[in-house]
Order: sequence, then C-alpha cells, then structure tokens
Amino acid sequence: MVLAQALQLVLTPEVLITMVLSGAFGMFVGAMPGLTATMATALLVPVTFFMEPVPAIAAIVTAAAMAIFAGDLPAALLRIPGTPASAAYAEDAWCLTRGGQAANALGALLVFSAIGGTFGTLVLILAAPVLAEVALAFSSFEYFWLVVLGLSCAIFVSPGSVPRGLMSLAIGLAVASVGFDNPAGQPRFTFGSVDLMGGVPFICAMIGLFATAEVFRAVVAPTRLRRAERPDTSGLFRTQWQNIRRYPKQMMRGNILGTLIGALPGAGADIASWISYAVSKRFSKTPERFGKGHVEGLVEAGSSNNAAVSGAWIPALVFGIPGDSITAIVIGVLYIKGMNPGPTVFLEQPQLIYALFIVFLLANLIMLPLGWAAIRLGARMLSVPQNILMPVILLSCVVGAFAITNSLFGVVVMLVFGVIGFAMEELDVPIAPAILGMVLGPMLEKNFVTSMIKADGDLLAFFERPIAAGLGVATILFWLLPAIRWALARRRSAAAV
Amino acid sequence: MGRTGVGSRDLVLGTVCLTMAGALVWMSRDLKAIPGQHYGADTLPNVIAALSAAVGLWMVVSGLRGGADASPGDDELAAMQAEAATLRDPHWARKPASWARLAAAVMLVLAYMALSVPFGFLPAALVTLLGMLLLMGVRPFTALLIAVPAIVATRYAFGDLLLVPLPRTPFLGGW
Repeated sequence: MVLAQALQLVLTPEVLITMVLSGAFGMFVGAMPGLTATMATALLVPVTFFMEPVPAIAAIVTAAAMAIFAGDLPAALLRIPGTPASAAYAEDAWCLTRGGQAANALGALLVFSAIGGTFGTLVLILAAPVLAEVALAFSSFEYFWLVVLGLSCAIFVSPGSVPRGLMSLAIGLAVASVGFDNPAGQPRFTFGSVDLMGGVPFICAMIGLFATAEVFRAVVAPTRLRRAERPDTSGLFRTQWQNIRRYPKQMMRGNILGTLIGALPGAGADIASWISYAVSKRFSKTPERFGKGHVEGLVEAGSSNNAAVSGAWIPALVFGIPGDSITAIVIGVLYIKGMNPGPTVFLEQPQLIYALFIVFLLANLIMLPLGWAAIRLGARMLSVPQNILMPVILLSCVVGAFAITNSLFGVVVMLVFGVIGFAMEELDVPIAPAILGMVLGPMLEKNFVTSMIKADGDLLAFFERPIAAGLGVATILFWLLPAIRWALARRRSAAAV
Repeated sequence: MGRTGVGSRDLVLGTVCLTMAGALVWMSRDLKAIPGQHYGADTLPNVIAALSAAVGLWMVVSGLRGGADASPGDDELAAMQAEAATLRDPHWARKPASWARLAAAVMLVLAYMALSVPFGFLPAALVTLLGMLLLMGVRPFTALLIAVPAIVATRYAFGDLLLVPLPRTPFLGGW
C-alpha cells in the first residue's frame, strides 16, 4: 500500500522530467573542472524551492549522483579531475585513454558508478527503517552525543589539519547561533537587523560558500584548460561484463567501503575514492600497474565514490545528521518542505520516504543513458570556455539567493559568504566542517539545554542512559585517538632508537 | 607549500580565531540564562568562544614553531588539490592585478544590489553580467551577444516560470 503510494508520487511526468533535466545539469557541472557536485546542488536549490518535496529532492539527488560520475570525464579526457572525488584515479583513466582504451575506462567508470550508487541505495533501504526504529527510543541525551560524534568525525576524518577543521567548525557554529531561534528566545548577534532575527539563510550561505567563492577563484586566477581530444568511445558497455567478472571482489569492496565511509559525517565521496583506490592497490596482484593505466583501481574507487553519495543519506534521513555537504544542503531543503528528517518521518510519512528510496534507485539507473550521452558529447562539453561560464554562474547565484528570501538580503548573505568561502579555500581551511556546524549547531544547542533542564544541570546525566553512555564513551575515545596514536608512535620510535 | 608558509598561515589563522573568541565573549555579555537554569542563550556562544580560543592558541604556537604541528599529509594534500584545481596560477596573491579583479567582481555584485531596486532586474543584471564577462577577458561585442540572451532567459525562467518577484524594470512595461 505504502509502496503503491510512493510509486504514484514518483512515476509522474513532473518527477521524471525533473530527474532527466537535473541529471543533465549535474552532468554538465560535474564535468567542468573546478565545479563540484556540491556546487551543482547549491545552484539547484533555488529552483527546487518552488517544487513539491518529491520532485525537489529527486532533482538534487539525481544532479549530485550525475555530477560525481561526470567528474570522471575530464579526468579521462584531460587528466584533470572534474570533482575532487575523481582525483584518485585521474592518472589511470588518462593513461587508458591515451593508450586507446577510452571506451574501456569511461565505460568502467560509468557502469561501476551506477553499481556503487545502487548498492549504497539498497543498503540505505534495508538499514534506514531498522535504524529508525532504534532511533525512536533516543532522547535529547542520545541526540546530543550523536551530534557531537558527527561533528568530531567531520574534523578528524576529513583530510587536512585538525586545527583548521576546528576553526571551520567554530565559524559554522557561530553562524548558526545568529537569530531568535535559541532555547532562551533572545535575539542573538542580530545587530538590530530584522532580517537576521530568523538567522542566517542557510541556502544563500551555501550558494555563497560553494558557487560564488568558486567564481571569485576563477576571477583571480583563471583556469587554463587544454583542448580535450576526441577519443573513440564506441562500445562503451561491451567490455564491462568482462570487468565485472574479472574484478568482483574489488567491486564489492568498493561498494561496501564507499557506503560505510559515506555514512560517516564529514567523510564523503572524495575520501571514499582515495581510500578505496589505496585499498585496491594494496591488495592488487599487480600493484605496479596502478597509476599507469590500470582499470582495477577505476572499478574499486569508481564504485566507492558513488556508493558514498548514497551512504551519506543514511544518517541524514534517520537522524537528521548530514553525512556530507550535499546532504547538509538537502536537510535544509527538507525542513523548508516540512519533511523534518529523523526517525519520526518513517512513521508519519512512510510514503515519502519510500518515494525517496525509489528516486535514489532511479537516479542511479538514469545515470547509464545520461552518462552514455555525456561521454559521447564529452570533448564538446568540455570546450565551453570558463570565462563565459563563470559570469553566468555568478548571475545564477545572485538570482538564486534573491529567490530564497525574495529580498536583497539573500544577495548580501551570498556575497558575504562568497568572500568567506573564497578566503577559506585559499587559506586551506576546509569548508565541510563549517557547513556541518551551521546545520548541527541548533540541534546541538537544543539537545544540550533540553537535557540540562531535564537533569537539573547535572552533567553526569549524559552518561546515565545506556545508549547515551555508549555514544559518549565512543565520542571521548574518538577525541583521544590522535593522542593515543601519537603516544604509540613515540614509543615505537623510542624503541627503535 | 613549505614549513614556513604553513607557519605564517597558522599564525594569521590563529590570530583570527583568538579575535573571534574575544568578539564572541564580548557580544554575549548581555545574553542571559533561562530563568531558574544555569544555561541559556549565552551557552553556545561561550562554548564556541572557548573552542575558538583553544584552536587559536594551538595555531599560534604551531605557527611560531614554523608549522610543526601540521599533519604529515598536508603537503601531499596541497599538491593533490593543486592538481585537482587544474592549471590555476598558485602565485596569484602576489599580483596586485588579481586583487583588483577580485574587488571588481565584488563591486559588480554590489552594483546589482544598488541598481536593481530603482531600475529593475534587466538593467542591473546586464551591468553585472557584462562587467563580469569583460573582467574575464571576453571581447565587448561577444560579451553583449552572450549577456542579452542570458539575462532574458534568466528573467523568464525565474520571473515567469518560477514566479520569483524579481525587481521590475519601469521603462520595459514592468518586465
């Protein structure tokens, strides 16, 4: 019954056409070097703002999945990864193309991306309802620890230096603390502005951080692209059955690792891809061929990055805790659409959840024909000059930010965050922890203050319920992990001397 | 990026963090706890200030030691990101022209804000888009050929299809 209702919600011309169009948009953005899947999502949000919940989410999910795959196109044709998630195997893909095996490389990337995304979605479909039942027993104490654990993962799992990650998190939390919406109901950091009473508009900030900042980066140092060659890409799918039979273990390992990494807050497709590539090389019978045009790494890391995109939806839908920047944006959209993510949505609106599951599956299936078309168009698509593209993107940012607030306040926020995002990128301060801070800040504060009211200010109450205690201990151990590793390394080096 | 580069950058970022911590404490001085409770609107800002101060001190110390605390993978990561960021000039910050271009891009967005209310979306967007295209090195005639259809399409998509109340242009019948 619920499934029939869900199918009715998805199988409409509006949803299907939206998916195809947003898929094409995601393909284009992902294929452009420097433009990321998150940017595709941020630019799409103002458009989805005016849609019903299912087509809105369908548009974002499809665009994100396509963009991650499309990042492989310039990797194979230009040796330049379109998105950071394709960077791990760009060298192999490029070497295969130069060696006359473009069809094998691009076909593998397309087919295994679709398989990885579908695998991650199946895990989501099976795991999410079970996890949601467990989550129904959660109180503010458990949610507090979950949020803290999520934020900690964002810092310690993300690449780069820990203090810079913490700095980014502090910026995100500070932004989240603006406005009236706090447990005491006092206007906080509003500087007398009526617009700021409702807080900083999240989507405008996202557009600034991801899209406007990238335009500014192109303005100060334009990207010089080589002309892409037009390789022979006929018979894309012909060799893939062989690849599946030759590398089944690698495919499954990539699928499983990608889904697990994606489900960790802060660790998205980029990290999944790098780790899977490293694992593939480590267990390969021919590790010396990696980096010189070997399809094995492409199979494992290509499956992994798309599986991670699907895996990131598990904490997002079940707990309302985003797994990466894309799901952070979607959580914002879900709230706007009145579909508050969390375990109760599985009880109150199961047809919507199942509709989303169907959308996730469809998005990965649509990837095959759209990806095929994108590969055929590949070289022509990559010849769109950046100096024309970037000004048009800036105009989209301005109009998109205006559309969110229906006032110039949105444009001001977009501009301010564009400058902040630009500075952060240039100073190697990661942006993902700031996004998670902005999304999880209110949840952190609400659950902490609610818990303290319940426990009359007794901090030990955070360890009195078994699941809360478990989560709390896990979080503290997670914090201590770098210190333990450091101490062990010191002991080992002392022993060596 | 060498150790010294990482060190001076950490010093600057550490100072920013310490300033942010001080600003948060100062701005939260009037925020009060919920009546009868220990916690309230001041709790989160104070926690962020403490985090920011700790991180600031960490980075300042690290900066003074020449970036010694930077994680070992940083250099490889920077190289990887440089590769991923395609063929961008890594030394743009030393060129005053780059800063002038950045300032011009910001000014063009500000120009949109200033012009859109009195003159409407179309002229304001035309100025911004045309300015950006010229800034990116597109020839004037080509820029005009791109800008006009682009803003008309944007106006139609957002104003007519998505019903966003874009500022109206008085001399074009309110379109």
